[in-house]
Amino acid sequence: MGIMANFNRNRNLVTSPNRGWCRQLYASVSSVQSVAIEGYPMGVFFTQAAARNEDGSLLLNDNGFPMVDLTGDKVVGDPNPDWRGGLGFNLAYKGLALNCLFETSQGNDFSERTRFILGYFGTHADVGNEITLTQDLVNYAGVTIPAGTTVRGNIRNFGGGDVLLDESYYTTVQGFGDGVLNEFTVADGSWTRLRELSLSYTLDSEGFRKSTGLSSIELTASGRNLKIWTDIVGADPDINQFGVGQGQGLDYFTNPGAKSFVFGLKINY
Amino acid sequence: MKSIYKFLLPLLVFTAFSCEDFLDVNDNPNQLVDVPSGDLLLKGTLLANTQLHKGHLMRAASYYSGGLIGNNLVQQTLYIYNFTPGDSDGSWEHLYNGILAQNKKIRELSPELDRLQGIVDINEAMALGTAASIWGDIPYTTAVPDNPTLESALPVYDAQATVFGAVQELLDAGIEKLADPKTNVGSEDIFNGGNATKWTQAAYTLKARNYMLTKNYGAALNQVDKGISSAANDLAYHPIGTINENSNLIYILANGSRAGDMTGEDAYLQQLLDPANTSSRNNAKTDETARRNFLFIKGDGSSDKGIDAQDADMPLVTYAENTLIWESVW
Repeated sequence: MGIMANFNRNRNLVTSPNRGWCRQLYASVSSVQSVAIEGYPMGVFFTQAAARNEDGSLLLNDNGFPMVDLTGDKVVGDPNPDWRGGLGFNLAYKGLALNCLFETSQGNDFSERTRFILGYFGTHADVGNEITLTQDLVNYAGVTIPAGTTVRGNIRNFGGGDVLLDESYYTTVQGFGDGVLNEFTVADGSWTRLRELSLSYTLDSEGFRKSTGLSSIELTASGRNLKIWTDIVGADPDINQFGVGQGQGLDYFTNPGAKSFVFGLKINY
Repeated sequence: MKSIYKFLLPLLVFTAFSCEDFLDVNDNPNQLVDVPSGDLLLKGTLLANTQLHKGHLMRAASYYSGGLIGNNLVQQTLYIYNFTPGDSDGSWEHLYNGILAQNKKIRELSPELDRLQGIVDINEAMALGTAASIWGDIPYTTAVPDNPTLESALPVYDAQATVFGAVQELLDAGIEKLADPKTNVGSEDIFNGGNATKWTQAAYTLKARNYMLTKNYGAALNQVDKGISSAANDLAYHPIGTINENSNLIYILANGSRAGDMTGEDAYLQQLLDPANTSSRNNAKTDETARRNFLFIKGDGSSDKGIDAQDADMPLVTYAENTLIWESVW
């Protein structure tokens, strides 16, 4: 039996970006940018934030909904994890061998732009909830929906009491481009995944060798990316829209890590 | 021994007569390395000015002045007044990269082309006046430094009043250069075909426009009699309108990828000009139906006439503006 573990953390600070005070880290257009900006860690998210009061609470409109901060882009998240680690073990008993590897990333922010856009189009599952209101609620358009009504949407409290997030909300403050609440794409993207699990069985007993004339046969079954535990809904946070590079933590219709199963038969003469 | 000479001699001959240069094969013929003359950059700076005045800013202005309604996505976001600093990025690119940086090059390359230099001054002044009126303080005097290096200081903002002063100086300089130009720009001037009279008139109307913006009404009035004297002399972008890239900018937006995201249907401008509407401002003696139809932007991708026709002129400085300034100050 063997156990392996690794742990790493990377703390960094941008002190002087090349040319100017802020620099986008990939040559492409994105509403949420991953930038090098003076005084922050590498790759922080820079986009339109929700307007806030001096105490940091959301500045709400008369209906209790947040508003876009129109004074300029703000740093709204940090995709650098607090720490990453891996834990693996292997067990061997007679001809059987089991190999298992877990990986984790904790404290990394993740920009769920796919969910944000699909919410606008009404095709992300969580905006299709049907709920029956137990109290009168106001929607983004300022219309009061009476208790007892069954509506499609979600209830949320931005700090001014419960409000109803329905079509008028999702099609106004979510969507493409600047001027929407892009800060709300950012969520805790911590994840833990079962990276690899494999089981193998080797037949090489003396009787087997004599009766078959082979030296051994090994059967293996292994799977990669079998399971992920994360609070992110509907996407794999262990990806990046812009691939390998300095910009990180962005999701925009990006393919998840592939789940794969491999079966093997090894015959040794 | 002889066999060695047999081998060495041809080698020696080849070496002696080989080329010093490799026939310029190391220059990429498809890449522009140096511009031989400044007039070749004129179209670029004129088109950048068109984009500045008739692109994103005009669209946003249409939403805020009742010409259009934004229904979806980015157009809707603009319509509900969520105009972020990022929405000005494109306009600043046109102003600084498209106009100021190119004009600097044009002035360096061809200072002797007086007609070209006059046009460049007036075009730049138009853009600067618009930028100062929209954003207030903007970088100008340090915007395109003579020796840009990676370490150069960032440009500093000039006061709005300073920029408006520079606008009037640029216009005067342009008018002077066009007083009796000795050189031609020909077809490179896609606005006026190099016509010095038209450009000079536009410069005077621009002087009046910028005096109006700075509340110097007396000075504004003094310019209009030298301003644009007829609709035929309007300064305008004339789209060719054969493919998307050379078409009217409203057409590209309203009939292209953003079709359906905006509409002029029931916009305030349409109500004002509709005799049947309660908001109508029609005079009983006039019929504004044709004007209303011309200004109507359907926005669903099916428009083929009026202000958003594929080859409809996009006016920048007009006889109508000149007349309006005269009417309002007189």
